[in-house]
Amino acid sequence: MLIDDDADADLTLLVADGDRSALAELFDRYASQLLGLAQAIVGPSVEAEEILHEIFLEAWRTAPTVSAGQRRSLRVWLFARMRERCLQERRESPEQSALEEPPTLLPINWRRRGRFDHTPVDDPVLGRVRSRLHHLVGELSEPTRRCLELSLFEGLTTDELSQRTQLHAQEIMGHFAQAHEVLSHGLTNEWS
Amino acid sequence: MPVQRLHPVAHVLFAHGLSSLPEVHATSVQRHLDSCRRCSQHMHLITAEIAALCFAVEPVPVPALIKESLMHSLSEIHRLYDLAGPVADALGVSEARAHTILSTLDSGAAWRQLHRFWVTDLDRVHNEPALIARVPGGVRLRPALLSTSPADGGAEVVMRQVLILQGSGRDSQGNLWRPGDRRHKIRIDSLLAHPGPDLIALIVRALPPAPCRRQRPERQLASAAQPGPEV
Repeated sequence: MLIDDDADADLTLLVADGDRSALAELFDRYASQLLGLAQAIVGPSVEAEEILHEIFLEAWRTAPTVSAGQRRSLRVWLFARMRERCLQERRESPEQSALEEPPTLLPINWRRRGRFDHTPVDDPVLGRVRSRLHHLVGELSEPTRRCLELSLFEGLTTDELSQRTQLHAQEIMGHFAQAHEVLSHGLTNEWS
Repeated sequence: MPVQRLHPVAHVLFAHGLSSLPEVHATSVQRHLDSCRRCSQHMHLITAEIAALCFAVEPVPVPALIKESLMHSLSEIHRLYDLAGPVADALGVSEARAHTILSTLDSGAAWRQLHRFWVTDLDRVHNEPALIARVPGGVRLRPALLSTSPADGGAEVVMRQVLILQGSGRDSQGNLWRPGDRRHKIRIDSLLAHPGPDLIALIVRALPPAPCRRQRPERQLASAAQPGPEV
C-alpha cells in the first residue's frame, strides 16, 4: 500500500470528532499536492490558494456528515472536491484560468527531455506515489492520455472533447476505457 | 428523466467520475447510482482512482499564511450551534450556556468510550441533568445500556425527552429520527443509527431546572470553565 489509508482513516475520524490538530495534519500531508492540482486547473493564482483554504474549511464542517463508506477517505473527498471547485472557477473565469502551458499528467521533464527524470520532492512517500502514477500514465497511448488530461484539468465533456480532438465520441469512450483499465489494474490494492 | 436500468459499464462510471458525460447521460447514471448499492460502491472506487490520479501532478509549496489562516478560521466555526435553541429549551438553560455545552460536545473531549459507543452525561460536563449518546453510524444503540443508574438497567427505558443533535436513525417503534427532532416521554428499547454521521442524541432523564433558578455569577463562570471528564 503506497499511502497509509489506516492513518488517513484515523485522521478522518478525529476531524469528525472535532480535533483541529488532525485537520492540520491532513493539511500538512496533502495541501501542496492539492495546490498543485488547483494550479493545474486554474493557474498559479490567488484563487487557487483561496480554494485550498475553502475546501479545508468545508472538510471541517462536513466531516461529521461524510457517509460511513467515505469515512475512510477524506483524502479522496478533498481531491474530488478540489477538482470540482477549481473546474467551477475555471468555467466562471476562463480568462483568468488561461495557462501558459497545458497541464500534464506526465512528469514535466518527460515532455521536455523525453525521459523520466523526477524532480525531487520533500515527501518520499508521495514521491513514490507520483513516480508510480507517471509510469502508469506513460503506458497510455498519447490520445488516451490527452483525453484524460483534457477531462481532468479542463472538465471537458465527451462532446467538447470530440470537438477539441476531432475524435468521435465513441472513440473517446474507448480511450476512457483504456485509461480506466490501466489505472485500476495499476492501483489495485493501493488505494481505497 | 429515465433512470438507467442496466448497470453502467466501468468506463462509463469512469467518465461520470471525471464529469465528462453529457448532462442527460450523467443525470441518468446518477439516478441509477442513487438506487443501486453495487454500482454506488463501484463508483466510490473509481472516485478514489481519479483522486489518486491527481497525485501525478507536481506539488507546489504552500504559503504558510494559508495554514495559519485556516487554523484561525476553524476556531470560529461551531458545527452544532444550529441546535443551540432547542438544546437551551430542553435543558432549561440560556443559549449562551447551550453554546458552551455544544462546543464541548463538538470537541470530542467530553466523550467516554463505553463498550460499543461513546457516551457522556452532562452532569459530568456542565452539571446539566441529561445524558448525551453518540453512536457510530450503523451501530445499534440500546438506550438501556446508556443508563447511569443501576435502577434503570432494564431492557426498556422511558426517556423524558430526546433531542437528536446529529445523524439519523429509527427507533423500535418505527419512528424516524433526524437532527432537530425532539420528542417527550418516549418508551423505546432500541434506536438504530443510520449509516452516515454518528448519531448524537441528547437524552433528558430528569426535570430541567426551574427557569427562575439562578446561579451566582461566580458559580456560572466556574461551571462554564469546568473541563470535561478525561477520556
